[in-house]
Amino acid sequence: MSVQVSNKLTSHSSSSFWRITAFSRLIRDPLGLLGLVLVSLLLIGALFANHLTPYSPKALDVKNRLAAPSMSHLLGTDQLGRDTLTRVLHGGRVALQVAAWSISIALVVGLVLGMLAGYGPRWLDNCLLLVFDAVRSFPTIIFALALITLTGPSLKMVITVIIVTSIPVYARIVRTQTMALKEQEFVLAARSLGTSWFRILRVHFLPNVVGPLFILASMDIPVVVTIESGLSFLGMGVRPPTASWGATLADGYAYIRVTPWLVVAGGVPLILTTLGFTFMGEALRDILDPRLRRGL
Amino acid sequence: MQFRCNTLQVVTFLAMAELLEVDNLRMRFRTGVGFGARFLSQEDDWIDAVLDVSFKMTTGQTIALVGESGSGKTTLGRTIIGLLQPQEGSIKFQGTELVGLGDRDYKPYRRNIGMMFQDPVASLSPRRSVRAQILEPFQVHKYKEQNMDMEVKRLMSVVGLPERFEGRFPHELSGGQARRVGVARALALSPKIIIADEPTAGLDVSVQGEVLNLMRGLQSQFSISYLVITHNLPVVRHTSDRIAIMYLGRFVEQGSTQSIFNSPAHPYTQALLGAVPKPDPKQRRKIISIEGEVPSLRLRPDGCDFHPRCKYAQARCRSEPPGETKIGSEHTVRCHFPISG
Amino acid sequence: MDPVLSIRNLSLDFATPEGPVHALRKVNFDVPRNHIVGIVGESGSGKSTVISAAMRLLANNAVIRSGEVMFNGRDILCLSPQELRALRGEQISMVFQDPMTSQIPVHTIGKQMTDIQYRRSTTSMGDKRRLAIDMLRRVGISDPEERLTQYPHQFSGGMRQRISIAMALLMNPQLLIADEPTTALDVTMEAQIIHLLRELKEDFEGSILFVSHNLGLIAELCDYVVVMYAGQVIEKGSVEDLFYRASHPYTQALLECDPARIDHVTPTLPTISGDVPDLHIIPNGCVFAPRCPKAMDKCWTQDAGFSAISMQHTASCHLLGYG
Repeated sequence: MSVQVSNKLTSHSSSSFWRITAFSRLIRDPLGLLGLVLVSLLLIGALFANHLTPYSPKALDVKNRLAAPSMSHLLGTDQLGRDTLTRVLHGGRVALQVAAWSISIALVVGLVLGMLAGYGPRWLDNCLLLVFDAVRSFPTIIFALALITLTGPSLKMVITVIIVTSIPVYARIVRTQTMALKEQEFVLAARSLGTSWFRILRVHFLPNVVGPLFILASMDIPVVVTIESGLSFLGMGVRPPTASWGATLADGYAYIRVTPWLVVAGGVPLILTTLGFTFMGEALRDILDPRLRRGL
Repeated sequence: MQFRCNTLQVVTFLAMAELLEVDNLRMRFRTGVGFGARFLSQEDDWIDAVLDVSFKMTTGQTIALVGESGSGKTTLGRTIIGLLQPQEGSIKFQGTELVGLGDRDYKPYRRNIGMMFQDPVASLSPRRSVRAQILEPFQVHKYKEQNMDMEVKRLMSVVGLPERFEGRFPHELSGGQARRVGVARALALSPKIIIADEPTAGLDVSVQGEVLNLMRGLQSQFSISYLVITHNLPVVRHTSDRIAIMYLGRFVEQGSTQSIFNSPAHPYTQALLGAVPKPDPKQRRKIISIEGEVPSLRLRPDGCDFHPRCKYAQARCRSEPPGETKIGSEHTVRCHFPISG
Repeated sequence: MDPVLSIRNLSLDFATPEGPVHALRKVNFDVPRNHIVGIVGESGSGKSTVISAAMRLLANNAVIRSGEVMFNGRDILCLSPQELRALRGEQISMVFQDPMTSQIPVHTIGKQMTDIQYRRSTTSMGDKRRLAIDMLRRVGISDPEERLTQYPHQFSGGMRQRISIAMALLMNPQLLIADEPTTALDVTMEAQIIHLLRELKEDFEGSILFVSHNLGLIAELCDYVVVMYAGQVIEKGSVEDLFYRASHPYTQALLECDPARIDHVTPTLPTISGDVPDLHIIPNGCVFAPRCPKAMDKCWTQDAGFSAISMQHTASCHLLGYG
């Protein structure tokens, strides 16, 4: 049976093409481009920290303590003579590690719990919401301080706290999206075929729910980095001698009358990271959202 | 001699077993919310979306479920395909009772009944390609992957979709194209029955024939029976063998298309037929066939459901609900005073 | 008598990233006083765009290329926002397709109906309410006094559409534009609303511009009909002209495809093959040529002008010859 079916479609006919266009539009947006550049700098600095400077972050050189920037120490040295630039690069590594681990685990768990809450029976939803709201009722930093006072400061603790407090946020968003999708006809269609709930969630809901979540997560990265730095500043985060921007900031705070460079070295990366991820995330959101709406 | 006669009897008996037999089906929904309603629910909290529905379907037949909002036709369709569990009644597919089967036992029967949904684009999973949508039924029922490529291509050509649409996504399809994907998906597991929910909704008159002709072609090619849920009476007249008119969840009249159109017996059927505007300026109606609105399912009238709006209502109609009476071969009506000939 | 609305040579584009969409091309028709004109067309015909232009409710990316929309001798397209506001709701009013979203959900019906009368500066609030109550009764709403205190969500679709009609007629407009007012309603309610519109038109001296894709409704209600296809008017005339003497192949095909017109039970329904053309590109010849069963060579290259078949009946087709 051959029937005329005309092709009225203009551009994009496969999703990979669409992704390329999103990237090129990101580059064209000035703030997005700036964000991309900053984020790339951070990533390169963190990944290649070992190779970019000749120093180790722990190498002491007390004779040269609190030196101003020079050819041999581009950002000067801290109160124990350690090269500040090296410590900043390694601090970036710590920041990214915390962000990567905590956000990815929180994402996965939040995704699963959110979908279950949104799609599952009412009682399950109510129970999960109760748990989410209970956890969210604690202010994050206070919660972190309380836990860390009990267990002692460590990187693992920081990551755990961030995971636990981020899960409800992601889960709620996933839940809302899941509930909106649940009412749509394609879900009925899948059920009418005999599709199991697991497959419905995995195959039909997951791809639709994940998109906005990634953008949100990318904008959470600076928040997480700031929390880690804040805790390290208070001495509740990483243990010395591990490098961290917060630790450098704390050192700089103590020696600010001698040299301003430590504060600068600790603070500026934080600012740049926050700006970078925020610009990039917002640009991505603007590109992807209206696109989706128009395409649909 | 006797042995051969018995086999013949058995074969004839099997051939005559109805494809689908629905008996006294009732589908209720609870309207109260919260914990209180769960434990303290009274009769008032329930609404009957489908009530006292009985009908039969044979191979290669097209039955139209016609009704307006609140008639329960969509709910009935969804109950038959197993998306909803009825509170009372039976649904038998080739003799096997489907009501009460657990999910796992029901699953093999899902292959026999397919469904086409009202909104063609919304009924496709937004981020899956056309190919994935058509493959879905096979994957859900764990068919082997090897020949599925051929199957998808075959199905696409059967419904008239060119191969290049395989990689397209739902938002890139027109309404007509998305409908064809829906048909292909419904057809995938070679069902014997397809329930089509408003197959012409949103389609221009000049193209609705395409979908309907496609469905008809598939019917003769694959011996499919259709249960068409619609409110579009002119289309029904040309495409269905039998019609069931629904009002507030019940069948008020059931019969062959010809007898319903030529001699409607229920006042609601008559009103419905009279309400369809004729595309002919000389046939303008001076009086409207019916007043008022469909009442809410929560406030079902006493006696006959239709009596508040019925021109011919009498005392008996206000107090006593009518049962289904036969008024011709294969023509039944639910009315105390059916309109005669 | 001059027509209340006269659309003259209206051409309109929509700017899109993929280039301009030529949504309306040289649209020309009149709405005579005290008559009902129907615009019939399928998806992509431009019928909704035309009335959006008539009310100047177009999207931001609409570009009027040429033409005028004359209302009582003044070009609506050239009016200032204040002048437009004076027109809308008072001299031209509109009833929309979806009754569930066309009223303000947070105001009572009474407030909405008295607010519409804001230009009646000399009328007291009590009188305004009385006018509202009368109008509600006129459109068939029972217990209108009580209804004034209710909110839109407390009414069904059919009742909301009646209320929309009441609100549209409150200020006695000279032109009521109804954009598919019954598409979202059940067929029995549709019949009631169409009947109501016909009755009201007898009582109020005004014209109705009725947009629909349903030929049955057009036949029921309209005095004159304009048929649109792919952004152009391809035939127009009295309702009898169109139904009994359809001259353009598209109109003829449309009538043939309508299942309500096919007397003999036909299992295989007629269709018009092909799709509505992409309006990014305007063909040189007749826009219907690709789908026309009677297309000749010159249909592909030359635009057919309008030929007069009778006094009011014109169509744009080469088969009719020129002039």
